[in-house]
Amino acid sequence: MTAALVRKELRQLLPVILGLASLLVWSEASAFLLHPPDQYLAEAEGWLLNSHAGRLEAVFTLILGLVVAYNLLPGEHDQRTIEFLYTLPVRRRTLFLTKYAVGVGLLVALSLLGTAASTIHHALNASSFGRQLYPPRLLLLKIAAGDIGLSFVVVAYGMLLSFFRRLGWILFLLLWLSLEVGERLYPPLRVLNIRSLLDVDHQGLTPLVDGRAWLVQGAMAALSLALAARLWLSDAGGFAGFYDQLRKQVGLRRAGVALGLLAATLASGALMLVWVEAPPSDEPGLSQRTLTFETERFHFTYREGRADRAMVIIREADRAYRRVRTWLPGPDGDGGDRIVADLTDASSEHLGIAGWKKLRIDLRPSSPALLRHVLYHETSHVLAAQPGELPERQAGLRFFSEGLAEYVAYELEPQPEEREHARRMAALARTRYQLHVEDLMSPGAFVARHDEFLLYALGEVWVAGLVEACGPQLPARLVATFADPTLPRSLAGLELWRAALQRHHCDLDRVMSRYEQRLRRLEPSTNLVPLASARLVDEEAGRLVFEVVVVEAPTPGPWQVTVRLRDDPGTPVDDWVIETFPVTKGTPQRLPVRPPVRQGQRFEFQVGAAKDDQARPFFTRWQSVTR
Amino acid sequence: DVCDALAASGWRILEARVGRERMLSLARAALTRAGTGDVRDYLWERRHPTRRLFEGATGLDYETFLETWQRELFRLRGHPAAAALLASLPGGAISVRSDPARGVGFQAKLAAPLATDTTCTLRHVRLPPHDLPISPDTLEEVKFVWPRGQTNLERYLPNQYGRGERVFLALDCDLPSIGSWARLVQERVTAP
Repeated sequence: MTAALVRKELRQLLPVILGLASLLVWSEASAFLLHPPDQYLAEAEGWLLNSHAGRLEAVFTLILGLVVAYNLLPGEHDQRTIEFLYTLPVRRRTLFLTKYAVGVGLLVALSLLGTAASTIHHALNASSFGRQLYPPRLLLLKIAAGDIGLSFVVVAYGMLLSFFRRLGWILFLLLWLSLEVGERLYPPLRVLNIRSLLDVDHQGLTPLVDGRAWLVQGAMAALSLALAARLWLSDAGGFAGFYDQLRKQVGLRRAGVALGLLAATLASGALMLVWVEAPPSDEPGLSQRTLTFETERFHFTYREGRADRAMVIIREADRAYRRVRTWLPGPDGDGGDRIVADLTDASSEHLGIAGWKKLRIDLRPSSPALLRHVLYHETSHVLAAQPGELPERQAGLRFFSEGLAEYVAYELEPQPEEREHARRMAALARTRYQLHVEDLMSPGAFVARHDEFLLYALGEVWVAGLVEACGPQLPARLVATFADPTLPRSLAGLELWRAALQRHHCDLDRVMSRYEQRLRRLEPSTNLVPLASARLVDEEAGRLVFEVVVVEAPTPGPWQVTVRLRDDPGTPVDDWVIETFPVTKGTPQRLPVRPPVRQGQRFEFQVGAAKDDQARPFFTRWQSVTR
Repeated sequence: DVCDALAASGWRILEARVGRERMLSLARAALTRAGTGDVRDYLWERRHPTRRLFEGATGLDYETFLETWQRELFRLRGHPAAAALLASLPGGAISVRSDPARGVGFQAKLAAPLATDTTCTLRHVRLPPHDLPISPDTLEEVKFVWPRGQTNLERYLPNQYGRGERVFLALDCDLPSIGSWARLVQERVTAP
């Protein structure tokens, strides 16, 4: 009887099977036919071989699990064929579990087919590295966790959600949203998110699977399955009646959807409000009342408690606008729109941020010179922003955009000491880490390994090289050229630069030569930049203990050494742990630092030294380390 | 450079055995086909394995040629000039080390000291948590001089790689006797 039930379920799932099989066939056809199968290494992107690469795969499998589960029971109840099944000499619980087992079996079978195909791929690979990418122990882990374990979990969730028919999808979205926001507010909640199952760290070549996440998700899946069984086997008629009524009454249905969306919006809005609007911890007692101020070119918003610092910016703003326009000329009148300037921002990520006719500045820095620098920098961004710029090109040109804003800010509001320090840092980074201009054109990969400020510093030297090689009008012309739709979309990297510069009769080699010359000239003075290094030596009382030393510095100090910790390159900057300590040159010091929020098995850190808390430290590269 | 020289020796020996035209015919057969970037490349290589290409173009038996090549290299090694050159190459125990206190680096104990100050480069790069071929362009460099007369030497990269990070490390030295760089040791290690 069970075999007959399984056959019946498979017939019922046939459309899903065909759909999923088509996806699999397409993917494998691409891997085996559209690429040379002995060179294709898509599996090298897999979740077991790359830290944090499995998050998307887990979500994709969850959606597949929901689709499969939705094809198991709701249809039977809606068409009342379940009543026929209940007349068979089989316990209802057995029917339910058979359906669950078939759903899980289908997902497992498809996953195993995919794994088998990738195993064949590896066996065919021309490189011995490729052939050994998945040793047997990893293959077994992939099958046990990614193919089998995950299928059990996702179909169990699907069995529960499918009870609520289409409302289940709304419920799913609400839960998803809550988990995403909840995780941002309280990172240990990540174990409740399905992504945590395939989100692994690595110790060398060994993946460190999060056993706690599997335990929690396994328990949640078992509970979901038990609850689904209880609902489907006892109250299915009651909910079906309610759902039928809901479907038939259009008004009620619309009201339900609207209510659901409203609840989702309110819930996420409230959570985001708690998250975003929480006043920074260093501003107790400051009036948070919001005030506005209009100038000829700007509309400012600022907090009453920061009025003195806001005025430093407001008084300079229109002058800054006119002066930046001399570097970045635009259309006459600019349409008369003011730039909306939000001075209520407080972020550990940036001092300022700019977009299309908008900018935000953090007023917490006390130095008027720094505030003015940020104003000029962000105003440059606003005036350089081009509506036609290709988003995919923006990423590769980010170093130019930031470098241009820095260059213009330093030219118009000179801070020779800070500029020289930034340029020395650029020169030091270039020699110490063998950075090439091409490295700057992949900002994602760059900031995964280096301090983001180096993009600004190296970008500023690049713009100085452009101006030196081809004149002060060139940067503004390049901004327009990069947004020109006639510039081939396929161009990227150095080829894009070569093509854009040629339009202005400028030569890439000349620019690169000026850029390199400038950095080389600065090399002898890079010994003025203090250098710190650190290593994790212990854990005490819940804190990570680093041995920190200032290895090179022009004086004994003490120097302000900053240690930054994050879980991985995807960690939002606001979640980084940043602590600063005074350290004397040459004396190793044990410093306890708060652990990162996620408290996984691996984390990343970097360390930098500066003369005081206003100066920019030169940070080491991000190192990942096992606790 | 050494790999290129070895490959060149094979072509030179082949030319001496079968003549320039047949040697060029093999080069054309093996190297001039425009790839298609899909399964046809794979099928073509399955249908035209190196052995068949070689024997078709040169008329020589592949195994016999490999033996000839090896014999010729041995014969060249016995040449006094080559023997003198080989004797000047650094030999001994050179290994990549992974020390919890000092980081990753290398330790060398040469059988005989170097005759001149030698410029060496410690090349290194952080690897992903899996092993695939790496591009030489991605390697970072730390140059140093290996003083003449010194048999024992070690260099470490302190605090550059965190515990559990995967690192590729190679030691290349510029050997004036052979007129090129030579890699003395290379290894992938996990930082301690």
